[in-house]
Amino acid sequence: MPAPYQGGCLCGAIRYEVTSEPIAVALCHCRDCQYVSGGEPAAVVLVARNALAITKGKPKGYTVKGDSGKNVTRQFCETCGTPLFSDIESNPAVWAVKAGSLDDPSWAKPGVIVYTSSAQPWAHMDPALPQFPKMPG
Amino acid sequence: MPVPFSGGCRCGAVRYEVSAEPMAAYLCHCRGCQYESAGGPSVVVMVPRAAFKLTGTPKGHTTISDSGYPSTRRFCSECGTPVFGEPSVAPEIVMLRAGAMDDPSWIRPAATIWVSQAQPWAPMAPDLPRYDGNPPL
Ligand SMILES: [Zn+2]
Ligand SMILES: [Zn+2]
Ligand SMILES: [Zn+2]
Ligand SMILES: [Zn+2]
Repeated sequence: MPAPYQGGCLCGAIRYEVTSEPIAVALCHCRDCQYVSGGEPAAVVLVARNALAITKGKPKGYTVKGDSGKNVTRQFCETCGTPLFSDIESNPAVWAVKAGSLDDPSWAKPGVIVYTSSAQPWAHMDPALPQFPKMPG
Repeated sequence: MPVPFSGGCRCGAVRYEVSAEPMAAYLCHCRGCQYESAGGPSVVVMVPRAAFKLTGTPKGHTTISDSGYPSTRRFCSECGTPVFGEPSVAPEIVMLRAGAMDDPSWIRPAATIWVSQAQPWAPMAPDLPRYDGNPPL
């Protein structure tokens, strides 16, 4: 995917730009991501913290305790509800951008599946992708 | 299938109870659901509105759906969780998001829908019927 690339919410109130290539793309089946994503995994694009700039609007944050015990703050649009990206206290060097909010999510091909231990029994997983019960490592 | 069943958003501000079995469940890959659900499908569980009892006040965002009629997505304005959708064309139905059910494990998705808009990397169960748009009713 050619950097820079852009994204935003469904209603257009919030826009962002990312100026470097993603570090990784993961499908996350943790229970918190299921809340965000309607039950299926969230497709999460990890980008360098300093490469993402909000160019319009101000997302709202909701903070939960992640599985690590550290805070995860989920940023979303207050007007349309679109999940945008998360602050991960245990990994402050990145933003976890939600692929659905990219203007073109088609290139954001996941390379790994994480938190399979909490996936719903009906969730389908691509057998070609590496899977981890929680996080890798 | 447990009836009644309950659900709500991640922070607890919005809660509901349903006193009937779901009519159907689908995995929806439409672009609107991708925004809502971080890129993957939304898991949509149809229940009769008459059997749906809501507490709390979710926020609504209305767009014209790809089927051509207004559709309102209801989410919690505190935590961002998508909770249900209200298609104007079928006011007698509420479309729950499985991720906000207290126990989504017993849902049995019947089909994958709006495949025409799915991301090329979207995971799709090989054994479910697929429809380019809405399923035949
Ligand atoms: Zn918005
Ligand atoms: Zn997750
Ligand atoms: Zn909430
Ligand atoms: Zn949809």
